[in-house]
Amino acid sequence: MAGFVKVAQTGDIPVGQMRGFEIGPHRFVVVHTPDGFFAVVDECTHDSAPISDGRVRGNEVMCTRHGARFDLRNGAVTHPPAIVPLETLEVKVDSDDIMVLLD
Amino acid sequence: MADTVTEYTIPELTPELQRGPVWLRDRRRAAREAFNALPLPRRGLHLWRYTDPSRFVIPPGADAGELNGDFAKVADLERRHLADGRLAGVVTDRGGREISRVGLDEAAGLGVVATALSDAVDSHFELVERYLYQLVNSETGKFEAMNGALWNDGIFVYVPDGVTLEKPVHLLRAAGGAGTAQYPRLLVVVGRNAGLTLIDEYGGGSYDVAAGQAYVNAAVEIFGDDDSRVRYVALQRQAPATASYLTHRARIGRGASMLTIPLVFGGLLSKQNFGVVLNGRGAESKMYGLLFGSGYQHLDNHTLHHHAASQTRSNIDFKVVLRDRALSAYTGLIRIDRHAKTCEAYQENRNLLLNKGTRAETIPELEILNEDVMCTHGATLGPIDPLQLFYLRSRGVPENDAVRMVVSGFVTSTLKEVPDDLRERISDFVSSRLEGL
Repeated sequence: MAGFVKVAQTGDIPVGQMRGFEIGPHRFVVVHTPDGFFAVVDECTHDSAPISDGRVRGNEVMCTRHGARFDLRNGAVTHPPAIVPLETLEVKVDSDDIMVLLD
Repeated sequence: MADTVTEYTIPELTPELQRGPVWLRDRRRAAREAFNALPLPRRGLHLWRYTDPSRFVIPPGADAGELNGDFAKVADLERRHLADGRLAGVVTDRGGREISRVGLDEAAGLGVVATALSDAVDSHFELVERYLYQLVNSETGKFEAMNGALWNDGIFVYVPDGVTLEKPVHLLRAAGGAGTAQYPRLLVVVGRNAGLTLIDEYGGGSYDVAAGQAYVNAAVEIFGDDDSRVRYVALQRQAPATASYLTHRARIGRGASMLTIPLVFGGLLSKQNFGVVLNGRGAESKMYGLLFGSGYQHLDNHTLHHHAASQTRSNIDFKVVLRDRALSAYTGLIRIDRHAKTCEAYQENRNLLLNKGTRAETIPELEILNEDVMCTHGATLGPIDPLQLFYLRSRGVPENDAVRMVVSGFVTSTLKEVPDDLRERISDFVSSRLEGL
């Protein structure tokens, strides 16, 4: 399973939306922003709420449980109460396929 | 949301599940209706903060499937232990299809029963009708209702009044492979002033995440009458691509004692809930848990000590060791009823994190409605003390060995409580988990 894994096609996730995936032990969300596709672990670092239940604004995702916000490009916290960055996963788009790097 | 099944309703029960007396059919149907009516617990609610409930919704159509045979080795070992005189007997539940018994002759002579639950429904109908579904039922939760509707078979253990079985009875439960679902159930009734040690071992399951997960949804009910003494060991060593949900509830009477030892090593996703109701004056319950997570394991455990009578005592020591990317969430509740005076309760959860990337959450909860009690709790969480490692290394111990020594010391107090015939295997489990550090 290690390596880039195809998870969806580009047309499956419109800009401003995201979709959660569970592949083996990995649970992550792929988000389509104006800057492209990003993938982060589907769990807020503050209180473990699913990021996939949150909202996307530009290149940020907001966890709706307590309002923590993260920059999807690098996982950095942009708004408390979270302190620890979100873990990001490498994404590449191969023709129309969205591929996510899983270890 | 992730791509998982959330809207699953149990279809009409199969003729096989509708066998048995009317009361059982009615309870199964009621459990099915409750499951279908109850909403899926919302993520973030109490006890579901760290685990997505949809991961336990068994995909429609999954059945027992092929059982994997990793019990052969254990069964051989247990037969040797039987021959050595270390066990009273072994009961093997092969996914509810076949329940075989070895030994137990001496126990049977004392009136002890260890048999398939489906047989006990007829042979010991008074006890089974009285106790089955009393502690784990649709009021406990949606997934407990699922087991209540679908349990395909299980084991019934009964020890009559005044009888003490000195040697443990070992139960082996096999799970199916990838894409299968299993619903084992256990009912234990221990009479007045009777004694029992039970080892309840859950193994098997799916070994290949890519091929699909195996699911196990188990329910355990234990009743200890006045002055009874019960030791219950739950060993979860399922295969690495198995999702496991287990609810255990025990109720003990006046002057009774209960020792519960949850040992959690296996599965990819494991949610286990252990609870004891202290229902009679002077009852005492102890829980010594040990959990070792590695890889991407997600282990969510709850304990409950419910003091429903005065002068009851409880103690919990729940130890967790994590490595790689494993996660443990532990929620421990002590509840003391308004009328329960002069109770004593203690709860401790210690977490040892062997590397960065592991995560442990610990949530102690106290609901104390009586002022005249003594109730404390404690939790620790962190890596191995560098000073301890430095001390060992300064005496020529290589770092890896030093880590093993510290972890061995950490788990020793729990292992001391484990019955003899199991202790060596648990020690081996811990050692094997430390390989490659």
